[in-house]
Amino acid sequence: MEHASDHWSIGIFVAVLSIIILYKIVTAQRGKPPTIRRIAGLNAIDEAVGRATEMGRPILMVPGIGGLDIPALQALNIFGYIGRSVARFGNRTILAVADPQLVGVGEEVIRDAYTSAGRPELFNAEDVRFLSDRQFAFASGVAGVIEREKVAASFLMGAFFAESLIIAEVGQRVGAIQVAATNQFTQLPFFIATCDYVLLGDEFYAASAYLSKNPTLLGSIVGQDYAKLLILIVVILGTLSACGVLMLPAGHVHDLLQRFMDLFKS
Amino acid sequence: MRTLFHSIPHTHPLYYVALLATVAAGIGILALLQALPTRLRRPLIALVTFLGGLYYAAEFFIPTGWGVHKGVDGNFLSPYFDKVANISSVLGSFSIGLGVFSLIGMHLRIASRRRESWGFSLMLLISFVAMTIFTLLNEYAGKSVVIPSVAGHSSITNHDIYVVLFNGGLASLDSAMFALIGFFIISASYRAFRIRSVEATLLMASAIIVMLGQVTLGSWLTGGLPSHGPLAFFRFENMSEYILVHLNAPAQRAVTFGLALGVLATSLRLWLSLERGLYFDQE
Amino acid sequence: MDNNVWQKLQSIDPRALYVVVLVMISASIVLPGLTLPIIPGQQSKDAFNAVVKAANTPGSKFMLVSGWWSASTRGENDPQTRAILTHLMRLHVPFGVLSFDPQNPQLMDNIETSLAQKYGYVYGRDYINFGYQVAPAQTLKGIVTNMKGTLKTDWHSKPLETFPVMANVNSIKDVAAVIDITPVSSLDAWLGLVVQKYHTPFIYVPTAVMAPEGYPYRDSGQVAGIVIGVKGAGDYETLLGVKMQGTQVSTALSMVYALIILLVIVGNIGYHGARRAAALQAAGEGRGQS
Repeated sequence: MEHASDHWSIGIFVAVLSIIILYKIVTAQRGKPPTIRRIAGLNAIDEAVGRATEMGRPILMVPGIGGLDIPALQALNIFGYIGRSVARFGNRTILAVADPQLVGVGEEVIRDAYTSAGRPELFNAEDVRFLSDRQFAFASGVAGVIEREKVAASFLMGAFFAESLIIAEVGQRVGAIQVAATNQFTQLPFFIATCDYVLLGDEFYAASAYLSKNPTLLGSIVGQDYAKLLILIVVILGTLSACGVLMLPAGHVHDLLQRFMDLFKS
Repeated sequence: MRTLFHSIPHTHPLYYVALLATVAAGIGILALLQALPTRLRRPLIALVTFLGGLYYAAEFFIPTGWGVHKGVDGNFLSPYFDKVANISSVLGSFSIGLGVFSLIGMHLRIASRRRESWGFSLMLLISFVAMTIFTLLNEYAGKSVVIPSVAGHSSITNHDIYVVLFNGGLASLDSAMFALIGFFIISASYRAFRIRSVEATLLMASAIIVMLGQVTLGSWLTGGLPSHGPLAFFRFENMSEYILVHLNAPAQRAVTFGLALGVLATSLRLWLSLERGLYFDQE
Repeated sequence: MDNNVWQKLQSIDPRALYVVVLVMISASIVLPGLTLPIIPGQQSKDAFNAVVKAANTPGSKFMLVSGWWSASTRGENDPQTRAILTHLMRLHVPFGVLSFDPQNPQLMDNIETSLAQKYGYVYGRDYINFGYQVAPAQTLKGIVTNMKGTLKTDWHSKPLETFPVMANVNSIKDVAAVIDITPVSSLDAWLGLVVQKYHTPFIYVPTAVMAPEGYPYRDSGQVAGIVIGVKGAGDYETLLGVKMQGTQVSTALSMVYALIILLVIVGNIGYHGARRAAALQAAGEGRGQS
């Protein structure tokens, strides 16, 4: 869809979803922040950071290969919190990026994590590494880092494609605890087969809210859930309408149901 | 700026002077922004982010036909789409220099100090320089650079070397890395598929059906079953199709709804700078 | 049986597995007689029929082939591209190739050139290569309304106006079908930005791993057919009545899948054998203590 006017009903629906999310963010900022359930995969973060410290080996973080996009920013958001935990233990963080635009942002995030944990002297700019923007050159670069540095834990979060299995399998081989999260549905099976914990679907977006307890992020998650509820209602009504159209004879109700279905037709 | 570049022919030295001056000015502006104190930088970033996002949001929501002649697609903001997109491309390309600088700097240090695995770093540097030179020559000099014959061999051009580097080096290495997946999937599935519970059993059964449905072996194994009628369902390709269309696709749709809402929410938070300082300092 | 045997069945050295895979793949590629009969799947048949239907629909027959692949995935995408382009050339359909990876124009050109000689296709008259497009979203949005203005030149920087094949191609309205050959998540961009506007038929040609992305859009009719990985290429070749790379590699794929299934069974025998042995041992110790 190029413009909202191509299909007003969908344009308005997107606007309604946005308003719900924004409303929940604003109310969470002004009132009592909501609570959200614990995500199992996040328990592994502390375990992985602690184990890496015991072993005296670094932690690897990879924000996907998608460039400076929403999943990468979300991943960096989570890495900021993990980085603080790593810094508190006095351990080393390696951030491998596949997009040059992420070098600056990534450096800021990791430096900030070490600074806010009171250990700015431990931050090493050389550990924020741009390896390559070519998919498999990047994969071989990350595999090299995992093998050479013998990382104790790796966090693979963001947009991953075919390189996911190469990176995660090499991590498996060196015995690293691996936590993955991706917006790419097709890569989930590979991560599930090779990683210790995988954040599924929108758990990826909920992770930073849970870790930070930031009211803005918590409000956003609640807003997303309400938006999801609205989508669910539309799906159920759509299914019932489709059944009605098939079963009812031609008439007003039939036309009404058909019109409702047409509202959301691509 | 566009008029300036269009008025100077590409072959004129002034064109390159203007190009360099523009790049230098861009770097200067970025350096100036970097030097700004945080209290000034933060609102500036918020304003630029808001304006950038506002253009796309307004262009999407303003009805087609507004402010444009009849028959023209889009609204009055649509003609500027390319220009706005170019701004983000230009800003993004500045970061390529940063990435290359970071990459080369690190490997130069490793190679010069002969740290562990310095040979790999040296190899990277040599490959980087060779590929850059021969790709540029190939793009701008065609096949004009002839390397004279050595010890009875016929002479070769820069294009020949580029082809060797591209097909023999880059393409082959890229293919080899992708091919690794074939090996890794074997070890990963061998290790991961264990029947520990009812769910794991169902997962493995469906995986085997889908796998066999996707290859000729599956079609061959159940090729004796009729292609129509109730028994046709038990052909691997049909069972696989059923699992993918009726079980996998709805689950995928549900996950996609969640992910799409996550993107929408994150985009809204970034656009309106609701995540004050989340990436750069504490809220 | 000794508990060690069960453990060994669960932990075969991966390097040994890799050697077996290498031998199996090499054997099925080197030995030309080693091919299994191919029965084309429904998705491939739908894709094939969609191309035929688009070619026979009145109006412009020009088709857009989009390539997001590089040398890395050529094992899958190359046979797919060969099969698709062979079909287009047999149907005498003019086409343009749009690349979204810097390596793709060269790889596409290699295939186009080799097939063009066979089918008498002439560059610029029957087909064109638009070259690498740096900004996919902007390009896709642009070609909906203004194809020549957005793409401007072919991959050798020659203006599009100079090519006869582009004479009547001004926007997506003049495109009979879009064929997306891809190893990445490009489906949403094409569906969201381009084909939805005028319901242009869209054929999805992904690597096998990306194929599940296409299924949700089959029901809604937004994707006309899916050519899935090497198996899809083999299917397509069978539908065309030719035997090329797809047919040959499909057999290798079958053998590797069979190996995976065999290994999963072996691993599970080891796992359950070890559990039973442990349970028997525990029961024996329990009796000994009592």
